[in-house]
Amino acid sequence: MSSAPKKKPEDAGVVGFFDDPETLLTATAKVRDSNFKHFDCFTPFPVHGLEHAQGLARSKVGYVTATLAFTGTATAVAFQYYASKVSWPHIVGGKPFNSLPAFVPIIFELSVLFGGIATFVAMMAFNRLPNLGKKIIDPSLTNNRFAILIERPPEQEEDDFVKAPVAVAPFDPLAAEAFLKSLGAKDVRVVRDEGWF
Amino acid sequence: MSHHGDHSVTISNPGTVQSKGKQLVFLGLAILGFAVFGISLLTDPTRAWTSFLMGHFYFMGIAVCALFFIATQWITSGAWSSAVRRLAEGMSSYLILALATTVGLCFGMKSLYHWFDRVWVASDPIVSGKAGYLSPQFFAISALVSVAVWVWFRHKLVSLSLGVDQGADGRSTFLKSRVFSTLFIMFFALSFTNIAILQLKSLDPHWFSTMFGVYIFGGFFQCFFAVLAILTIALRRSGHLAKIVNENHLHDVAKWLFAFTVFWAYTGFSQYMLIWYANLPEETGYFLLRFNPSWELSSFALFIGKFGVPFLALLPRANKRTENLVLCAAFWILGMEYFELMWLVQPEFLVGGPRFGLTEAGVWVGFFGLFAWSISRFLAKHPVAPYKDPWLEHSVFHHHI
Repeated sequence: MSSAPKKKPEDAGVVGFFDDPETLLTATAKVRDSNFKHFDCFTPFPVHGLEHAQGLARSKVGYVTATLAFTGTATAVAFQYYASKVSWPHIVGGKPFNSLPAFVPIIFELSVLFGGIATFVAMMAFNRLPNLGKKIIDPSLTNNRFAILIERPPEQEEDDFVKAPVAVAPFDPLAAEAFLKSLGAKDVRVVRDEGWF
Repeated sequence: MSHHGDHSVTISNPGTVQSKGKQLVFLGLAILGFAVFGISLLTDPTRAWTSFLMGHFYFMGIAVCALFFIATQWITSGAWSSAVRRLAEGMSSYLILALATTVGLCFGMKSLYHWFDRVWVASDPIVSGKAGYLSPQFFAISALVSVAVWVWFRHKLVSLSLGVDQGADGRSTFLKSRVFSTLFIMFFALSFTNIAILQLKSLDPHWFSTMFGVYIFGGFFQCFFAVLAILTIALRRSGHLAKIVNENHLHDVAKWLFAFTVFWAYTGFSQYMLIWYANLPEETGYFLLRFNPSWELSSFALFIGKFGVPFLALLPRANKRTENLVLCAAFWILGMEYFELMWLVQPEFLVGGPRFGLTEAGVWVGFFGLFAWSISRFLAKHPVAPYKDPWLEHSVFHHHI
C-alpha cells in the first residue's frame, strides 16, 4: 500500500507459529475441519502432504500445460504445412512437399516449448508471483519456523447454495488464538494487514 | 497422509500366494502350447518357428526387463519400488526357462534366418561382409552366454533380496546389490542389443539400424510395467498387498508405463525418420516391405495403437490412479507388443499382412504358461513383498504431491 492508510488497519488475522512440520500438518488438518474457513500456511520449505491437510483442490496447471502443448502441436503442423506446401514449395531430397516425418521433430519441439512456457506462466499466475512489494509476517518463516494464519473472513461471502452474498459470522480473534494454542502453536499473535502474501 | 516423524512401524510378513491349482493350469497351458508347436512343426515349419520366435522373445524380453528394472531401482536407491520389487523378481524367475527356449530357437535357425544358407551368404556381397557375425555359431554362443549371464545376475540379485527376509543386514545387501546392478546394466545394454539384432533384425540380413536394440528394449520395458501393473492390482485385490501397496504405487507404475509409451515412440520414430530421410537402398528395404499395401495399415495401426491410444489414456493424473483403467491400458499394451512382434517378424515370410491363427495363438499360450508358472511358483515360495527391507517403510508410507 503506497498511499497513506486512511483508517487504522484492523487486525487481519491470527498467526500461530510451530516448530516442526509434523505438528503443523496435524494442526492444519484440524483447522481445515474447524469453523475457520479462511486460513493459510507458511513454511520455509515444501512440506509433503500439506496441500492435503489444507484441503486444497488439485492445481489446474496441468490443464494449462496440456491445452497449450496441443496448441503447439497444431501450430507446428499448420505452419510447416503452409510454409512447405502452400507458400514456398521446394523439392528437398526428392521428398513430397507435405512430408509429415520431416515435420515431426518441430511438432515435438513446439509442443514442448508451448507447454513449458505455459506451465511457467500459469504457475506464476496461480501462485500470484512475483510479489516483490509484499511483506513477510515474520522472518523466521524463511528459516526454521512454520505458521498457520487464520484470516479475518470478508464481511460478506458468495454462498454456493443460495448463489448470493450472505453475511459471515463475525471474526473472534480470541477464539482463534485459543484454538491455535490448543493445536500446539508455540507463539500466537494478532497481525495487521500490511500487504503480505 | 504423511508419516514423516513416525517410522517405527514394523511391517508384518505379507505371506506367500498359494496357487497349486493355478500352477497346474499354467503347466497344462504350456504343454498344450508346445503340443501345438510340435504339430505345426510337422505341417508348416516356417510358421511354427516364427510363432516360436515371437513367443520366445516376448517373454524373454519381459523377464530380462524385470531384472533391468530391479537393477535400476538398486542403483538409484528407489525406495518407492520396494513394495513391488518382489513381483519383478518373480517375473525374472522365467529367465532360466528363457535359456531353455534360446536353446530351442537355435534349432529353428534353418527355417528362420536366410543367412543360415552359407552358399547364399558367400554369394551376396553385403552379407558376405557380415558372415562372421551372422553365423550359426555366433548366433548360438552369444545368445546362450548372454542369457546364462542374465540368469547368474538374476540369481545374485534375487538371493540377496531374499536373504534380507531371512535376517541378512539390509544395508550391506543394498551395497552389494548396487555393485551387481551396475555390472548387470552395462552387460545388459550390450547383450540385449546383440540378441535383438541377431534374433529379430537379422531376419532381414541386409538391413542395419543402430537404434534397433534400444527400440526393442523400449517396447519390452513398457511391457514389463504392464505386467507389473496387472500383478500389483491383482495382488492388491486379493488382499496380499493390501497393506503395502496404495494408489500412489499404482500411480508410479502407471507413470513408467506412460513414460515408456513415449520412449518407445521416440526411438521407433527416430529410427524410421533417419532411414526415410537418408533414403539408402540397404536401409529403406525394411520399411518399404512394411509399407507395401498388405502391411501399410498394420504399420499405422501399430503407431496409433502402441503410442497414440496409451498416450492419451494414461495422460490424465486421475486415470493413472484408477485401477480398472490402468488394467485396460496394461492389457492393451501387452496385446500391442505381440502385434509389434508380428510386424517385425512376419513381413519377412508373408505377403498377405499379419497372420494370427491357431498356431500363433497356441504357441504364445505355451510360452505364457511357462511364464505364468514361473511367477506363481516364485510367489508361492517367497513373501510377496520384501517385508524386512529397510526401504519398505518409506515405500509403504509413499505419498504423492
